[in-house]
Amino acid sequence: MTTLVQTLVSGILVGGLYGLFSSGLTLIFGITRVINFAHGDFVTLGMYGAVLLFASAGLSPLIGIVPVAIISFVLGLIVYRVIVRRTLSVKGISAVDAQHGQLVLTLAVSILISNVLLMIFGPSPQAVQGVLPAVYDVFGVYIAQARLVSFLIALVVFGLLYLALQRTLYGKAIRATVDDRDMASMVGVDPNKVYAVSFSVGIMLTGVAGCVLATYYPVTPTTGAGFLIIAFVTVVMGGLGNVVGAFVAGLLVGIIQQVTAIYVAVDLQDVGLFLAFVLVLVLRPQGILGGRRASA
Amino acid sequence: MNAVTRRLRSTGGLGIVVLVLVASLPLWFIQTNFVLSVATLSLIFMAASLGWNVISGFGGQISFGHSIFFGLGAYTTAILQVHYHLNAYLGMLLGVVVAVVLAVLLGAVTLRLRGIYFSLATFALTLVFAILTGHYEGFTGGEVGLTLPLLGDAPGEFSFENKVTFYWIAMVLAALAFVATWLVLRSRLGLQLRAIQADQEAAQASGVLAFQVKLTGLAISAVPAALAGSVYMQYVGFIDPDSAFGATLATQIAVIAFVGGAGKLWGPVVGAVILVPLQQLLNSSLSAYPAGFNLVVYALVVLVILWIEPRGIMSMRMRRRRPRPPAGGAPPQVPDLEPAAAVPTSREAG
Repeated sequence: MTTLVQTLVSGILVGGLYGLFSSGLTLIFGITRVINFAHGDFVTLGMYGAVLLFASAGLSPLIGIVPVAIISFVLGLIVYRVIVRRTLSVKGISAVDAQHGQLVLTLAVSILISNVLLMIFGPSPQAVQGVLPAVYDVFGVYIAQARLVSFLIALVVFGLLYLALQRTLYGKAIRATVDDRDMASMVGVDPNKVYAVSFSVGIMLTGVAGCVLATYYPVTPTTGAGFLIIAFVTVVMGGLGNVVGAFVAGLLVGIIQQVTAIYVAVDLQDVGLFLAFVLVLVLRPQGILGGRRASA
Repeated sequence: MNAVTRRLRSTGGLGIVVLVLVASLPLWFIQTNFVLSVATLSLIFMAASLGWNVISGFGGQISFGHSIFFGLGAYTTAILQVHYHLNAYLGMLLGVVVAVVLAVLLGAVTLRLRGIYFSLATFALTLVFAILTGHYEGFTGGEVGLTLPLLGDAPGEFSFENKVTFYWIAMVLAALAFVATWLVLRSRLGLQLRAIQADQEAAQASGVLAFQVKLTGLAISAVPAALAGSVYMQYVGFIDPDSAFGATLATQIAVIAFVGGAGKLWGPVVGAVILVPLQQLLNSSLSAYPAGFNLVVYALVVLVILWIEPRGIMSMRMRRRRPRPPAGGAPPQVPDLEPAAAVPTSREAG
């Protein structure tokens, strides 16, 4: 029984961060329709950001969130303006061709980021050591301080995103674009601005998630590949473009992964996840939490 | 336009010129073993990417899982050879059978998905294969991989001392894959696939059995990929889960075609000629460059090419040529049937 509770708690705690970077991916897809293959590498960049700030300035990742967030936002803006938007401005290109172009371009960005990191930092894992080292014992269930704090931060950041989407004018413009992009632009929403902002905010959330994740997860240049798949799975489960769905699905994905790891085999933890993913795709392509809204 | 250039402009004519050129490379261009291995690998990946082009290029169902068929081709021959001492050619044939059966089974599930959902499902499935082959190590050799026994010069067992032989074999494989995709493109099936790519609803309304057509397309496209995997196995002599089913290969097969031009007959050919050597030549294990440098260059080249033309290199030529009115008599071309064939190498070749 304790094992089960322990498994569920571990799953939920790591799932919070999954939910955070996946809500970034789903935000990007919901607005710009870009399948961002470089998403996992922005998690890695956030993690290296935390490692670098900690090693050079002794800055805790919890404070490092601020510079990492700003830098990720700017990076997201650059990637969107320079690379992603380019495909839309090519003369006579069809929407599908443009999307495929974006797919391969973001894939190239992914290869670029992970290998630049490899050239700079080398292949060995790096970690932020000794931040939040405590472990709490709650009725026999062990909870690491770093994981708990990371989960709480993920919750707060996601709460802020949710409030921003619900209450601010930009948030309303973004939600309107998700629902009906043509209608939104008809009532005066500038699609270019909304696209750029949501792409950058999506990358920013991802960078923040990476920065926090670095408190207990060692990083290598190829760490991002695993997170990319997790983000895809999570986003599809939550319903593409559904931000709240992505966060909740993130928790679920964390649990599925932990349960498979504990009760089946550690190296098979992703098989359970991927098979669940294909099943969800085939049986409920709108997402297990989504309504009937078409999102493809 | 005289008869000679017109003949050169046709896909068949151009194909024969290219084939003769490629076949003669070891005689005057390829001097070192390293260049020979780069050229052989280019042809092998070209074949896999040509297969990809059938379902993903013509049919518009972008697969990030063709490494499944490549890996199955490689692993089937290797397992049969290592564990059961089966003849390599027989193993190769069985590899194709296994890949086609799996293509039909996996396609029956995934081809019901549209657009990006199909891509993501195939991507997840190839990673499942990678993890499973790593896990069941008694059969597959696990993460360590499988190594073929060294047989020396045994043509009956697909083993040759002279590495140029592998180059010819890879060339024949790529040529066959090219002819096969050309035939598909000209066939009724090719027309139906392209109709589905353009608009699946409209195609179905016109009587195209979309699901069956896609399933056939996927099964056909698995064959060159499986053969490529099999030849790769015999050539390199070693396979592990990551080089068979991993994300790098899964995306590379697609990227080769995208850079050259997905859906264009010559797309995978052009893409493989540019990308595979680029990746191999700068490989850190063979040069003084730091690890990762080769892939940084690779990524930058892909970025620049797709930044200029997101539809790939073959479309660049089309875009440049389009404004010019046809010179002289209209050439006997069917513009929509063979988009690539309408884009010959006229100026440079002639």
